[in-house]
Amino acid sequence: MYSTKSPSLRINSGDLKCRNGCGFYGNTQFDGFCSKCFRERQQGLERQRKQRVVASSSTKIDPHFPRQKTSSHHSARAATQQHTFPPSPSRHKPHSPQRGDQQERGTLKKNAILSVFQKTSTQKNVGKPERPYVPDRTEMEFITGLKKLLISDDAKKKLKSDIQRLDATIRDYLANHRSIDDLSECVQNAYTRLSEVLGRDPRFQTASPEAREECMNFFEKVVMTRNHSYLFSPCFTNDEEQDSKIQKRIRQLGWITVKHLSCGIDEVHSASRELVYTAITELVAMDSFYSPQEKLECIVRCCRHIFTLLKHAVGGPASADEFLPALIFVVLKANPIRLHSNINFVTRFSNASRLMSGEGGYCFTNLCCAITFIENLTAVSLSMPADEFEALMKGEKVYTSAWESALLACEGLHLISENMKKMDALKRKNENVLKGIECFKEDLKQLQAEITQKIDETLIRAPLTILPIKTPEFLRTRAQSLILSDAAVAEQRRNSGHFQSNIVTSLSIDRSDEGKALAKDSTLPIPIIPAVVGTTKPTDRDKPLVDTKPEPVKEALSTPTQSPAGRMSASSSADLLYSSPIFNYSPFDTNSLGDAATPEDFLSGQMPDFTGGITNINYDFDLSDHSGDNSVAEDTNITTGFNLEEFDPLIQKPSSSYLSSTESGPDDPDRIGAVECEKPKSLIESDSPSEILLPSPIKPTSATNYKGFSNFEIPSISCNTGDFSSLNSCEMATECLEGSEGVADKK
Amino acid sequence: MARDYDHLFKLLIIGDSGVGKSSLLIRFSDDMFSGSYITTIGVDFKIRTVVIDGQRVKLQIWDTAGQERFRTITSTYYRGTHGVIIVYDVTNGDSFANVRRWLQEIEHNCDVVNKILVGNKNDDPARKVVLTEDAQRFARQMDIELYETSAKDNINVEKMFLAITRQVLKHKLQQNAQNAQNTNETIHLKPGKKHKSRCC
Repeated sequence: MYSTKSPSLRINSGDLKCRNGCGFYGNTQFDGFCSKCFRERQQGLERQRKQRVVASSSTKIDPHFPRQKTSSHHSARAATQQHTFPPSPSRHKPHSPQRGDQQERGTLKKNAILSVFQKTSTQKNVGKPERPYVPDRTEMEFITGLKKLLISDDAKKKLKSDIQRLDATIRDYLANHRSIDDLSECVQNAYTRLSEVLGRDPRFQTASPEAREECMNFFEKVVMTRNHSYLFSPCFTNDEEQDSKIQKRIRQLGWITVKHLSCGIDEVHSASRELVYTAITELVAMDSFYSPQEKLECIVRCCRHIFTLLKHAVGGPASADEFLPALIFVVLKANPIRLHSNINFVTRFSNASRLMSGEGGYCFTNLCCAITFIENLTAVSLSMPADEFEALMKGEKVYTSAWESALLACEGLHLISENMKKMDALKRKNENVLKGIECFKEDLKQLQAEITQKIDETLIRAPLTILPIKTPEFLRTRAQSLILSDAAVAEQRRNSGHFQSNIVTSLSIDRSDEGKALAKDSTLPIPIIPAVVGTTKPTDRDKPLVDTKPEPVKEALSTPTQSPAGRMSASSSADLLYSSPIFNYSPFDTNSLGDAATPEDFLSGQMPDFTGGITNINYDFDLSDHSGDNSVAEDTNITTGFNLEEFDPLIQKPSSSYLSSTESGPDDPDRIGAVECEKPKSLIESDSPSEILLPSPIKPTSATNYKGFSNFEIPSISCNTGDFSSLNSCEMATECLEGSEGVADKK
Repeated sequence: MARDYDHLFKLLIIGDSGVGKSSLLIRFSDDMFSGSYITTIGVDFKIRTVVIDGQRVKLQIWDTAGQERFRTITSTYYRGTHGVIIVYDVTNGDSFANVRRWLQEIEHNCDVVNKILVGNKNDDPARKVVLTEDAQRFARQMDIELYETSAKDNINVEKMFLAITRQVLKHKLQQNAQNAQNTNETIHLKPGKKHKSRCC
């Protein structure tokens, strides 16, 4: 039956598959193979050819070779082979012996080529029965679909046989006749027959109505999908012409807007626009489905979208008065391809009952109406002047449709408006924030005012009264017991703090030499500075002295035991206070201070002795330093003389001891050391507790003092080692110079 | 389990635009009724099953666009229609005048069909233009039943739909009986024909 098939007919989708049956689509350029199979086969052929070339290196190859070559290329192979094969006897006659050779030699290759020829010939003449049956994807779908049907196996067999029979009938019919209407009737008859069978056949008795309906649908779907390529827009109908006609027509009517059709689609509203788009998509998708029911489903979905759209616009269920114009509008905007072919295909080969009832039928009918309307559209049907209509149809006049503008121009405008909205929102937010800030500021101000008010109130309510510091009772009693008689001292004591009391206590002891003490005290804060300078040598040099000193220190401490315990604490704190500013040098400095204090005291009391002492100590030291120190000491004496009254008592005490020691003899180094040790302690003690005296260690930082300090510091390193180191350094320098010179010389 | 209906009828509602076809339809399909009523396909495509004389009748009612410009294309709607409901507006004389044209349309498109004439919007006597007497006379002349309804106040809507359904059912039963007779007469011919078709 396939032999009689007219060549103009389209081939089945199955025939388009790779001839190797790998499931991919073949290509006529690749001999009906898919690209992969073709390449593999080609490589195989190439190999064989090479073998053959090597094997038959005789002279006979030449004429055959080009043909082989062309065949190896993909140039319209099927066609050339088709043409070359029939006349081959005549063409290849001169080379027949060669062919014989070839057959003898490369049987493998020959088989391959022959098989290729056979296959091409079978494809054209005999059809697929000779090919090994490999079910393709759609085929598989049908098989699985058939399995899924809820009917007995017998019924399935029956259904399958019916499908095959209708399949065969359709192809047979197409081969013999060319009347699509008859074919349509034939198919419709098959449907009715099947429905009768489904209703009456005992094999389907057990099936439920739904299953029967399923069978009916399945039958229709399978047959139609299989024969879609034959039945869809067959060449002997004018479907394609109609398609292009209506496509052109719709293109001409591109200017039609919602207003012309007076339908309730809100073009500008984004939601309805979205629905229009989905409806259009569904309508366009109709062409991509094979079976009529799938196409119908597309139409139904499209219509549903339109109904929802109208529901939005109308605010209730839409009537046909609104629906049809909307559908026409959608069809116009969608301009679906092969519209007529699709409509005709559905009309002819869909189960007639499906089109006459149900939602699918309703939607399809409406679509048909819409198409008819579009085809017969006139100026009257759009209620517009005929000349204007003509002008628009000819494209002489451009109608600026709201739809187009909504699609194109308004897209940007829409974006702008959206952004404007966003900006507005942001602006509002910003304003709110600013307002909030203002409010917050106000609140803060209020809070501040409140707080100040409250504080004022509380201050008024509870004013700050600074009460005189009370000296502990035991101290007072002790002081009293110590002072005993003097009332003036008691007054003084009351006015000053507990430290003062200490002072008072000490004062009471040394009251006798008050004048002298005053003079000494005046020097007190400063002594440290010269001490620093002075110490440099003594400390390092007299370390043994310092070490040996503890005893006298203890003595010194023990001697003022009469003074209250506060004194002791003061001394310890003084150490700390002193140590802290000079930090790294703390141990050194304390010692130094201790040592240094003494010369100061000497200075205050007996200048010549001190200088003498120093001269004694510093054999090699620069005199300039001493002079500076001395001068500083003197200056400070004068300047600080006033505020030292308070400390008189403290110094008085050591001074007294010192005096005693001086009396014994300043030249005695041991004595001096003892005095020195004793004195600094007391001095430190006296300095530290009072706030006024605290800065004293800092005082050295004053230009002159600092110099001394710096002098001490810098020389201290060079000083101690100083005497030698300076020389050494000089030597070193000279050496270096010499060295460098030497090096230079060497160089 | 059998089908949920015994008969499936397709009814068509025609009439000028704005006479209230859709509201009649919505009133009928969405208003509760003693019979089972299914709106399986959707709100917009009206389906309702009613029980008449113990037989379940599934009604599919197709709404049509009544605009003048669609007049020529509505022919496709008539395919497979069992009954037609022609609606006019009692407050609109033109719509009544157009009934004649609609009837002609039906004549054109269907051979034998059951028709019913409905004067809708019969709820405000003050605005009524088409008198019942005139309409009745016309209906009798055309041999159609006349119902004056109001979709708004739900007057006669149910009754009218049931009337047309009954009419269609009656017609169908008659036809079935005729068909049975015909098939009895021609029963000996069919097998032969079938055989023939199989041969080729």
